[in-house]
Amino acid sequence: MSERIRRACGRYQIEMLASGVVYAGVLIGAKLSAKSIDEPATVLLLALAPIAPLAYGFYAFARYYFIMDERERRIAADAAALTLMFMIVSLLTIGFLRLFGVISFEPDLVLSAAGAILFWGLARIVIASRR
Amino acid sequence: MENRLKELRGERGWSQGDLAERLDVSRQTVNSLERGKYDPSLPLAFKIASVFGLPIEKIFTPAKGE
Repeated sequence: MSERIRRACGRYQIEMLASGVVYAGVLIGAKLSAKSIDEPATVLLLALAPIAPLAYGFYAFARYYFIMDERERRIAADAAALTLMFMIVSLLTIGFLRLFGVISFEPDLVLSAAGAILFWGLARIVIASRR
Repeated sequence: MENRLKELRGERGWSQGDLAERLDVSRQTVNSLERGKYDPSLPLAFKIASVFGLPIEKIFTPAKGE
């Protein structure tokens, strides 16, 4: 690996780990704090608080995306395309099943987003192993 | 597409890491190129040609049936 990419990769991994830890901490803290707070403005702030570390994580990835080499970028982009298709098919399937009254289960948006990130990570591993 | 990357790298006594450094790509990408699993973009193909000091067509050839 070239020195430039190695340095960028190291920085990306540290930033993603840090944003993940902060995200989990903020999410747990905000959820616990929200139980004892009734003021709408404060609850709104607590609800949006986990977005900040998450956004930083995406920013770190976006920066790394434009530094990584063309093959790695292609793998990340292909995995994102697969994830998009998977999410559309999954959500439409659940949506139609609900529409026709087969199920009453409502997909959780937070879990759906986490599932998409997990699927994208797995897709990257599978695609990379084939290229 | 077929290529002579492994052969040319071997002639120069370079490791995959050495070639990756020269091309500014990851070692995994060099490995992928050598195994023919990944076809490089035109700019990367030109860079490879420049690193080996050879014309592109002396390094990359269409695979049989292409």
